[in-house]
Amino acid sequence: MKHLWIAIALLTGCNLGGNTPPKFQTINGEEVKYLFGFAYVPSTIFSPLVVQPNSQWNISLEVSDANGDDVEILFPEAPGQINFNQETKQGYWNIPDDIVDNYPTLQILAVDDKGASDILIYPLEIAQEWDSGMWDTGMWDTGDWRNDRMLDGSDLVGEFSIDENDNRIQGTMEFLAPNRRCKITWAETKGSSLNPCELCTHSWSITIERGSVESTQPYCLEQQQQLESVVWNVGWSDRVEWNGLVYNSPLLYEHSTAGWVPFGQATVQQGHFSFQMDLDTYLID
Amino acid sequence: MNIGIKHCLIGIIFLTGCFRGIFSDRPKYLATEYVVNKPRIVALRSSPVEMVSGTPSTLDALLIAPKDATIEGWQVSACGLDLSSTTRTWIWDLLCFEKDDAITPLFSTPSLPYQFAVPTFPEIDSCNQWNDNMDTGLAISDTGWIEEGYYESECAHQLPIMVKAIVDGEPVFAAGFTNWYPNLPYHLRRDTTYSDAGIELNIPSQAKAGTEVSLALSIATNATYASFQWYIDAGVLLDTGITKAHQFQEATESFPHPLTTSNNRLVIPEEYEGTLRIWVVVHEPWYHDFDMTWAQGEIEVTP
Repeated sequence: MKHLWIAIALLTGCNLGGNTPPKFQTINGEEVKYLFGFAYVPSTIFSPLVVQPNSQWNISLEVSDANGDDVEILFPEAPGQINFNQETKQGYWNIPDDIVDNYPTLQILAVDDKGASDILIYPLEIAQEWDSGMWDTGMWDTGDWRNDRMLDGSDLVGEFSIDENDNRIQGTMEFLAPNRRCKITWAETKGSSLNPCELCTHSWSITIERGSVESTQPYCLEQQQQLESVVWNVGWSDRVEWNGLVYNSPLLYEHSTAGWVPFGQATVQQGHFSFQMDLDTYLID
Repeated sequence: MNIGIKHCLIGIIFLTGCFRGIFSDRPKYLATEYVVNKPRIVALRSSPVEMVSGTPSTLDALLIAPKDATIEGWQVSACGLDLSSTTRTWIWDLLCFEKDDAITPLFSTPSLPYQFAVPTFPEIDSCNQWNDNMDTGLAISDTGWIEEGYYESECAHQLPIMVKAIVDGEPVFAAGFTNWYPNLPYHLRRDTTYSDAGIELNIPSQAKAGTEVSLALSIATNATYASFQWYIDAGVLLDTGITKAHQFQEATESFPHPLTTSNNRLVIPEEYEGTLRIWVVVHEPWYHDFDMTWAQGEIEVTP
């Protein structure tokens, strides 16, 4: 194993007897240090550099190459579009007002013309005015933070068979909100056929009543009441272009303000219609 | 060799900075290897994103290749899937595919996407024991995060899938790791994947050779943590071959989906003429190897 590590180091890191990677010297006048071969900027070890939104942040680099190769500077996965002059090794980033990530990590990649490279990680903080009102109410409770890949949010799932004579559907719908420990089932649900919406191949109108609730907590009972007050006009198409966006096999839903909108995934296969609708609070409020 | 000397050598390697370059290799590859000059499989996706015993799954891949290349067929296989074993199997590398008897062919097809039946495999015995022994120090019912059924969801094999395409008689490979569940886990029927979201590649339909054009990929979901990988037939991408989300817009009354956009800038070569293809792959940087989506567009380049 140790031999393997040494071999890797020799083959990819050292390039002994061959080409040596470029090396960062300074960034914005501050010396770049190296520890065990990793480049770092001393002033950003314990806190990121704070930059202002809606301003221009200038970048000036000095990079050396032991072999005298030309060195190209790249900014992979940058938080915005960095304008950089490869000749002068100077550039800038026009920081917008509404940046996606207020704590971006800038990767600065130096690549010489033989392919050897070095990377400098430069943490930034975009200065922001804290909304104390939001903070005081408990930011995590507002529902602003949501991760679809965890047991968060809620879904409506439907499984129906399609009557081949009149195109009506019959089956089951479920509301699933696992993080709230709420599951509501509407067995023997029926839907009538609608004239297909403009985007739809098929459309149906579904009314749900008297769901079976596997919880007595207020949230679940409120959801049941809310969901049962809605007439669910839904549809399906193999492929849809909506507002320039392409959707494959979407569930289409007649939204109260936006009209027919792709809102989840659906399939129609062999007389069977199934769907999964990602219910954010915006939809059902 | 004396152990002390070995340690000394390793120390010298560290101290002299020989490791410089090792950790920049991946960013360098993603940032610079974006021109399509040979066949490559650059994205995989499955629906659902993980495998469930005995259920249908649809697998798709994005193969980019020079314009005159012909894809002759696809072969997809898994490794480490023992259809009689009740022991949890976790495989972390692709060396498994060097053992012929450990490979399970899943399907062969002339084209993708392709729906296949995941082989049926038994319940995993060892998971229950692992859970029983686990003591987090937290009362599960108090956390608000762990629910009944969560542990069962965790009980899965982790196995690699190898995708092989034959392009002009030569094999092209890609692989990804995913969970293999004996039963449909609670989370899987409700995961929202990137391929569920609407996607748009906004590029000009025509451009002059030698000019710079703006590219934008929008996806109608929260993809603020996603990576966007760009591939082109020719030219230079000023924002490199890998970008992050640059704009995020919350859902509104008229557009009830969040919208995430990533931008890039393409400098078209002076001598280029004809159709210039562009691909963008969206995926999470960690985990969920098969949660990817992509879009393709073309620019007609004139002198």
